[in-house]
This record gives sequence, structure tokens and C-alpha cells, in this order.
Amino acid sequence: MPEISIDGKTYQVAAGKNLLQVCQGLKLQLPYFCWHPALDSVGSCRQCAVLMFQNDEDTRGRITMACMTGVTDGQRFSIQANSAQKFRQLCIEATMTGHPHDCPVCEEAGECHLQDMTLISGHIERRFQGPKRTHKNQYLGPFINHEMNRCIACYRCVRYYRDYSGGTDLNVFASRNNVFFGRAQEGVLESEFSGNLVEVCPTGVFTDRTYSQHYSRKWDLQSAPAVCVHCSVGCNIFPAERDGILRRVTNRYHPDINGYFLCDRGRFGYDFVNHGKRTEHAWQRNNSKQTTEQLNAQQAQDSLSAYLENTEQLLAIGSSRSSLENNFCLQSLVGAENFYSDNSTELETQLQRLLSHYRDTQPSSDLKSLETSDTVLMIGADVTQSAPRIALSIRQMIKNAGIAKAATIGVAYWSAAEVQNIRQDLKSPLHIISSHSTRLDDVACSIDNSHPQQQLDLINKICSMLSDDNPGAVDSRPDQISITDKATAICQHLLQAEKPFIVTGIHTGQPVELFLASLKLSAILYRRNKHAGLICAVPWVNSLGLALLNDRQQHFDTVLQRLEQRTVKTLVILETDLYRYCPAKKMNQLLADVANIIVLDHLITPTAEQADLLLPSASFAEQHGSWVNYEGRAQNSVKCFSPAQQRRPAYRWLTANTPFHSIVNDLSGIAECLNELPSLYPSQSADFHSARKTVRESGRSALHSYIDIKDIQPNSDPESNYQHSQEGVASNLDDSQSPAYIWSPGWNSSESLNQFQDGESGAIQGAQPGLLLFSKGQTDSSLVTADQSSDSIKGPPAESKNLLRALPYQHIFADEELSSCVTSISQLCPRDTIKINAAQASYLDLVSGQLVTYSFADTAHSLGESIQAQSTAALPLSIDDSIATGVVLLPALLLQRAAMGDDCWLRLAVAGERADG
Amino acid sequence: MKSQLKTLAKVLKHSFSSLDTVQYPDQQPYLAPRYRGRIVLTRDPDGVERCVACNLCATVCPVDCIALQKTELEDGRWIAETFDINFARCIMCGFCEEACPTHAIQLTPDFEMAEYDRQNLLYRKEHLLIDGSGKYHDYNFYQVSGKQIAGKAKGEADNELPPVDIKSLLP
Ligand code: SF4
Ligand code: SF4
Ligand code: SF4
Ligand code: SF4
Ligand code: FES
Repeated sequence: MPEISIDGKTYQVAAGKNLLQVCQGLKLQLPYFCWHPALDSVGSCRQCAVLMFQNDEDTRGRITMACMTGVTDGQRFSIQANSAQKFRQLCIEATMTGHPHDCPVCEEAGECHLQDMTLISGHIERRFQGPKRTHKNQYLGPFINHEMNRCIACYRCVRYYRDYSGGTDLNVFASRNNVFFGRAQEGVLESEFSGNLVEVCPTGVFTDRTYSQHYSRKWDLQSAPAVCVHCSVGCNIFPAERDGILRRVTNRYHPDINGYFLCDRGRFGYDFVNHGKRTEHAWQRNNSKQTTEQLNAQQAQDSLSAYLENTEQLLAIGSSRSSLENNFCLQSLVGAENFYSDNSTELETQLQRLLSHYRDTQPSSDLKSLETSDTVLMIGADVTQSAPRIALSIRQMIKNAGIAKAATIGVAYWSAAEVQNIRQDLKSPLHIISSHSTRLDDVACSIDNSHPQQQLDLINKICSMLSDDNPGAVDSRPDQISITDKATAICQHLLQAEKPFIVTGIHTGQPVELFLASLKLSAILYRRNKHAGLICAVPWVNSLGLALLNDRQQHFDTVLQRLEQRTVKTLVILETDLYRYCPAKKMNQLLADVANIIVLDHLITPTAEQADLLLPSASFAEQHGSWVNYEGRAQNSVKCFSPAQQRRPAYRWLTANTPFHSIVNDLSGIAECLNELPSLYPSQSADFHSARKTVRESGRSALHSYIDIKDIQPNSDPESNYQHSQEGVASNLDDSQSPAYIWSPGWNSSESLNQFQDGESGAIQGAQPGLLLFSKGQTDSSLVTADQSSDSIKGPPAESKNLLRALPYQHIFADEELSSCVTSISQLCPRDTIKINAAQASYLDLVSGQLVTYSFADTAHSLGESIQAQSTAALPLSIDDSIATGVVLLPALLLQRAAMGDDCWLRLAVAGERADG
Repeated sequence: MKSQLKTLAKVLKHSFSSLDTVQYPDQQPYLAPRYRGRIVLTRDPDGVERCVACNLCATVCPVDCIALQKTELEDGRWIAETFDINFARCIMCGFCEEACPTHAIQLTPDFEMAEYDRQNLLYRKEHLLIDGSGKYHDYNFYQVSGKQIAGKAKGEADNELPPVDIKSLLP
């Protein structure tokens, strides 16, 4: 460990780091702009200047950039030296010469890294009186505002957007102090991770447009450590509220999951909490009088008990987007035998298989280890669309070969520009097996877009090549030869790698066999190499948690059957919209025969419209809850603000106000892996609380004066150690639990994170990393999943040359229920189309743009007949040559609604004239 | 004894000096323009609301009696959608006026704000907004700010260069 001295103090520091990283770890106050913990150093802003002394005799020293100076033993530096301070001050003065007089109307003000650094550097008076340079702004889509005048040319945005997230449409233009950061032409930013620009840009150039629409200064926001609910990754976030409106979501650093970045679905999907279609009050339908009556809370509670008195023909549906506690309370209320998941048979099977894989065969892996892996094989999942943050991690994995190469010639990983220069086109291998193009194709080393059957053959081939005991039999059929070649290439990389990863996913419409084969492959790989990892995206935020509770594996297809058989009298639906799993007409029919429909939800979904009793439930931001992410990590999400109106967490409706802690205790008893769940929720303490609001919150004695000029007492939260007020310990002074917000004196921006981290890039002090439910106990050799895979995917029910295998095409903004109702997000949903490749189209005599209908071939399915018979709405055809022959792509949601099971074989037919001529 | 006589004399002397008591409200005292009384929101020389809803006044207010919500006008200006001052709480310290970067919020020499109903001490935006520019006549924030609004394009504010031609690589 090198020992260095800074301003006369000696420190033991980690080797291989640069001085700025070291200073951050030591919490020394050294300004910086261009350096970012995830983007590393380029030394362009000259703000992190320090004095470096040659030897012990040297008293003058020389200015050097901390971020470009690797630490070695015995070095002596000074941050405080006058000349260093002067340098930094002059430097920022020069930066500020062109800066506009904008702070009052700048969304960044109050959390602006530039403001902070200007103050830290001691530049407090403007001397330059010359004219300021100006720039025109661009429209960059519904998420991001652009105000180029405020740019300080630190280059963080392009380095993040292009080098880190792989975007291509943001760039730097012009020269010298005229540089412009934007797009070649105005337009929506293409990257799925564009929202991070808001936090990466240290100034107010890129700001959150949705936040600006209901803006509030950072110090007025009430926040809490929560978990994103828009996919199965479970990124950590800070939702932030004021006056009953959820104003925005920002990243909450978790070293093993999201790191410093979120995806756009997660960052901008929060607005559903403010949606006009939120449920507010309890309503009961009175069928005899043909009226709907609003109930008060007690009446609603009584009415619920009355409905549930008779448990005969009772059926309850849990939700993949609701917390463990909510699902558990419903399950306990109705009894496990009456509790069903909202997953189809196929999804339920796959989820249960994944659980047993984690439990028995191979531990799950986090995104940090994916980022540090060196070969990835991605099978049948376009993770950018389904669990976006995973894709960002894969993009970092790609760079590892370059970093390793740089290391061999002595260049440190943090020297970003040098490493990039050495790397050139060198990539760590990413192989993709899919049926159509994915958003990661641009960095892939091989892409195999083929029919699911061929994909399965290829995976099985790789499996047999990898398993020593079963060398694949040589097959000389021509199509087998090409498969052998492909498999050999992939195998080589997987075997050479120190840390190979399999990335796959579970989603509706995917052939189950393909998923099982991927698990088998991963198991075999893991048996050979204990560093091998598996990342498997699951459909929704708590899919795995629900599967864990639902050990009877009671799935939604049975629900449909029972509804069909009319053996359901009382149906309880928790936070899920049944109309997403079944065509509307059919669902209407089925629900018409149910006497009592009870719905708990936070949005008025089509299902909620059918309710006889509708109970308004709290959203993720208004309740405590645990969620199990794709890797089987249970994380607690702390309530951010108190629900308004009659809204309350579903667990409270369902248990008639049982204290949250005792629910968690009961829940922890139901399965061994959940035993430690209560540790996520520290026990209540009477005299210790931390504040959800900042010390500088404004307007406390005026905000609600229009209702009553007398002060209103802040709500209390008996369920946690956080207060809905400023009372309690400020977040920067408390390291005993996750901070409610990130702020510390002098550091108002999100960069103040460095004051909270445990060393440089360490976890936030006191933060809950979550509970890994399946981190141990895997019995190495039992390849449970291996036995259950098969050689062929289920074929079409009837041999017909015009039958195509339907597969879903997913879209980051279209598929997830909660985020897709948000205006800014729904604007970016693509138009629904049917996609096939050109050869297929000409074979079927179809042309691009033509309206086509589809009908399913399956009639064997129990519910088949009635549904398949009905003709489906026509959709325009679009041609995409990356799609494998024999495959047709439908929008994921549409397929989920229309298809029964995984027998997704369908026939296309012309609907009429060509759309839009 | 001596001091008692002295005191008596002093008291006696006061019977002949002029009165300090003012016959308020019949007789109004002179209050300088900088007197800190009732708060108003002013308009810029163009007659447009000055307040840009920056929230600085609310933040600096030691009793937290100002609450406002930012919104934007069609023309790009930031403006307060709501602006409430709870005068039951206000201590007339004038911090808000000091903090205001646009000279929008100003204290006036009017202090006669008593109400029988406490609720009436809440002044909303319509009660606060006056038609003139108050004590500071010429300041026009958007004329010095870089933010573009309708009628003032990029490069047209005071002391600004025309927008950069990003297609040019000339040094
Ligand atoms: S970027 Fe920062 S310094 Fe510049 S106007 Fe915005 S808040 Fe002020
Ligand atoms: S736009 Fe922001 S991130 Fe990009 S160079 Fe300018 S200040 Fe830096
Ligand atoms: S990747 Fe998933 S969990 Fe992470 S921010 Fe995006 S939607 Fe949320
Ligand atoms: S400080 Fe001035 S501009 Fe800012 S909100 Fe208050 S009155 Fe408006
Ligand atoms: S942070 Fe070191 S030069 Fe920019």
C-alpha cells in the first residue's frame, strides 16, 4: 500500500488509483468537473489541480492534475497550497466568463456541481465584463431539456453517451470555446439511457424535462431510499416528492446493481404515481340499484370482510408488480389453495425452474460481476428492452479486453483516453443467439438470428461440446456443419474466458425449451468454471418474489379455466390488470359471470372498472415493501410520502391494519430463504429517526395555508425510522441506515455522493445492500435443470407451410404496465406492427405497409376454440431482414394478450388495402 | 434629597415641552420607502410579472411563510403558478427582498394589515401582485439572462454575442 502525504498528513492509500480517486476516498475537498467515477479521467477541465513536490527538499512544487496522477509510494502533495488554490480559482473564472446569468431560471440551481465548485474554488466575483458566447438549443425529446449556454465544455456528456452507454446520436461540434454538445439535427435522443445525462452533466445544460414540468428545488423535496419497480433489475432510486406530487426519480448508488446509472424507463416512469387515473376512494357497485357508492375507509374494510366471509368458490390473483408483503397478505387472507399468480403456465414453469436453479445448481450473479466478466453469451433476450440496466453492464464488459491490453503496457484503467486509444476496436466477445436483431448488435462479436429450433440446436451443440462426459456426436448434415462451426467459435470463447456469463431472459411467447436449454448450458459452464455467471431477466419487478410465495405453482391459465367453468364466485385481484393477459372481449365475458369482483390497485385499469369493490392502494412511493429482483435479491423500498385520499398500502387493506413489522415477521417464516427478511427492516427506535426532508425545506408555514392557515402536523410514520419532516437526523450525519437523500454541506449536487461512500466507489454507508436469498447451499453436481431440457421445441399443431412461429418484440417503453401510461414515455412507444423478413414476405405475397391479420393455428388449447376463431385486428406489416425465416414478430403485449400458452403458431392474411397508400 | 429635587424639576420641565404622541390613525407617520411592511410582487418595465419562481425568497425566509410553485409560460418565461405568503407568520425581516434576484418581491411601507379572520392573512398571488415596478424601476431580468423567451432570441440579451455557428471550424 503506497503511503502518500497530502498537506502534511500521511495516508495509506490503495495502489493503482489516481490522486483524485484517493482524495474522494479520504473525503478531502478537491474540485473537479471532467472526472466521473464511472467515466474515469481525461484531464480536460484542469479543475483538480494540486501541487506535487519532487522530493522532500522541494518547497515550490509544480501544478499537476490529480485525476491524471497515479499514486506511488512516498509522494507529497498539497491541495491547500496558495498556488494550487489560485490556479483552480483562475481556471474556474475563465470557465465562467461565458456563463449566462441563469441560476434563478435554471433547473440545476441548488444542486449544481458548477455552483458548488465555483464556491469551493473561491471564485466569488465576476471580473470579466466582455460579451458572452451564446448557443442555440435543440429539442431532444420528451425527457431532456437542452440549454447550451450553460455548458462548461467538460465533455462528460459525450463521454457518457458515446463511450459508456454506446449511443451515437449525441456529439460535440465546432471548435475551441465554441464547442457545442448536441445532435447533428434536432430530435429525440436514441439511447435508452439518455436520462443519465441529467446527472452526468455538472451544469444545467441537460436537465430533466418531466421534472421541470412540476418543478421544485432539490431542498424542498422529500425523499426516501426506494427501489425501481419498472423491471426485474431492481435498481436503487430516490423518488422525490413535494406536496403530494412525485416530482422525479434520481439514481441511488448501489455498487452491485445500478452503480451510477438508471435506464429511461426507470427514471421517467415515475409519473404514473401522479396519473389522472389514480384510484382515490373506495367504491362499491350496487347492482340492484345500478349505482356506485363511495365508501369511507371503515365501510370499505367491512365490505371487504363481508365479501370474503364465504370462502367457497373464492379465488385471488396476486401480482408480479406488487410487493412481497402485499402478495403475502393476500395469500394468507384467502388461503394458499385459492391464491394464483398472474403468470401463464409457461412463465410460472420457467420462473419456478429458475428458482430451483438458483437454489440447487448455481448462485445468481449481480451486474457488477457481469461488468467485470470477459465473455457473454446472450440467448433469446433483448435485455435493452426488457431489463435495460443489464444491457448497460454488458456494454462495459465489452471494454474489458481493451483495459486488460492497456494494463499489459502499464496504462491504468482510469486513464480513459489512453485506454480508448489502446483499445481501438478490440472487444471482449459478446455472442448473441436470437431470432431477430437486438440493441446490442453493434458491439456483438457474433450474431445468430435463427428460428427457435435452430437456436435450440446450437445451444444443445454448445452444451455437448462443453460437457466433458458427452462429446457431441459428429453430424455431417450440411445444416449441422454450420451449427458446429458456430458452436465451436462460441465454445472457444466461453472456455478461454476467466469469467464467462450467460445472459438470458424469461418472457411471454418465448419457447420454454430454449430457456431450459440456456439454464442447462449455464449449469454445465458453471460446473467447469466456478466464476461463470448467469443473468436471467424475469418479466416484472417482483416476478421472482411472487414465484417464491406461489410454491404451489398455481398460475393464471387455471384461473382462466375456472372462470370459464364458472366456478368462481368471489374474485380478488391485487394490483394487476387481467386485460393484459387475455383479449378484452373474452375477459368481459369471463368476468360477467363472477358475482363479486374485488380489485385493489393504484390505477383505474380496465380490470378495476369491472370491480364490485374497488380499494385504492398505495403506489411503491407511498408504501414500505420488499421486492425480489432477477437475482433473487430481496430489497426493501422505503415509503417516500404518505398516500393521500383513501389510498393505503394493499397490505393494510388486506390485514385490517396489522403493523408492517409483524407482517414481515410472519412472511419470514414461510420459507427458509426468507428467514432473514426482518433484518431489512431495522427495529423501531423511539428516540432515533432520520429526516426525509432537508433542513432547508421552504414554505412549511405557507404550503397548506390555503386549506387552513393553522399549521398542519406532519404525518408520522410508525412503520420505519424515517420521519415525514425535517425532524430527526439529517442524512449526511447518519450512517446507521440508508440516507433518505444525498446532500452534504458544500456539496449540493448528486456528486455529494462521494461524501457518503465508503471509500472511493464504495457502497453508501449504512445502506442496505439487500438480502441475497440464494447465495449459498447450491449442491454443485446436481444438474437438476439439465435433465429437463429437450431437443426440439414444440412444433406447429398441424403441418402447414404457411404457419409461422410468433415471437414477441419487446420495447423498453411499450411493455411495462405502469410506465407505459406516462405521457412522456408513451410518446416514444413504437407503432404496433407485424414484422417478418423480406423473403418471407415475398413468399407470402405480402408487402411492407400492408394491413394484415393473423390467426392462431392452435385449436388444441382448452380455451383455444373460442378465442382463436375470432379474427384479430389488422396491423400494418413491416419488413425487418434481421428476423429469421419462419418467424413472425408481434408486439410483446399483443402476443401476451392474444396467445394462449406457448403454442404461438400463426397464419397471416391480407386484411385489405395497403395502409397509407 | 438633592437627587429627588432634580427629578421633580425634570418631570416639571416635561409639562412644557411639545408632545411626542402621534394621533394615529388621523395623523400618519412618515415611513421611508425602504420601510419593511406589507410585501408586494412587482412587474418589470415591460409590465410583465418579474417573479421567475426561483424559490430563493421562500428558502431564505426564516419562518418559512412563502410557498410557491413554478410553471412556464408559452413564451418560455418561468413564472409562479401559485405564490402564497402567510402574513400570520411573516416577521417583515426583508430577507426575501434581499434574496430576490429579479427585484420582484419588495417590502412596502404599509403595515396596516390587521384582520379579524386569521385566514385572511394568507395573501395569494393576486393579492400580492401590483402593477408597477416598485422601488427598482429599470431592472429587467430577462434582458440580462441567457434564457431565450419570445421576443428575445439567443444572443439578443445585454452583453451577448450572436449564437455560435456550430458548422464553422474557424479558429
Ligand atoms: S448551470 Fe449552475 S451555475 Fe449555471 S445557471 Fe445553472 S445553476 Fe447556475
Ligand atoms: S453539456 Fe454538460 S456534460 Fe456536456 S460538456 Fe457541457 S457541461 Fe459538460
Ligand atoms: S433497468 Fe429496470 S430497475 Fe433499472 S432503472 Fe431501468 S426499469 Fe428500473
Ligand atoms: S426570490 Fe424573487 S424571483 Fe425568486 S421566487 Fe421569490 S419573488 Fe420570485
Ligand atoms: S477533473 Fe482533473 S482535469 Fe478535470
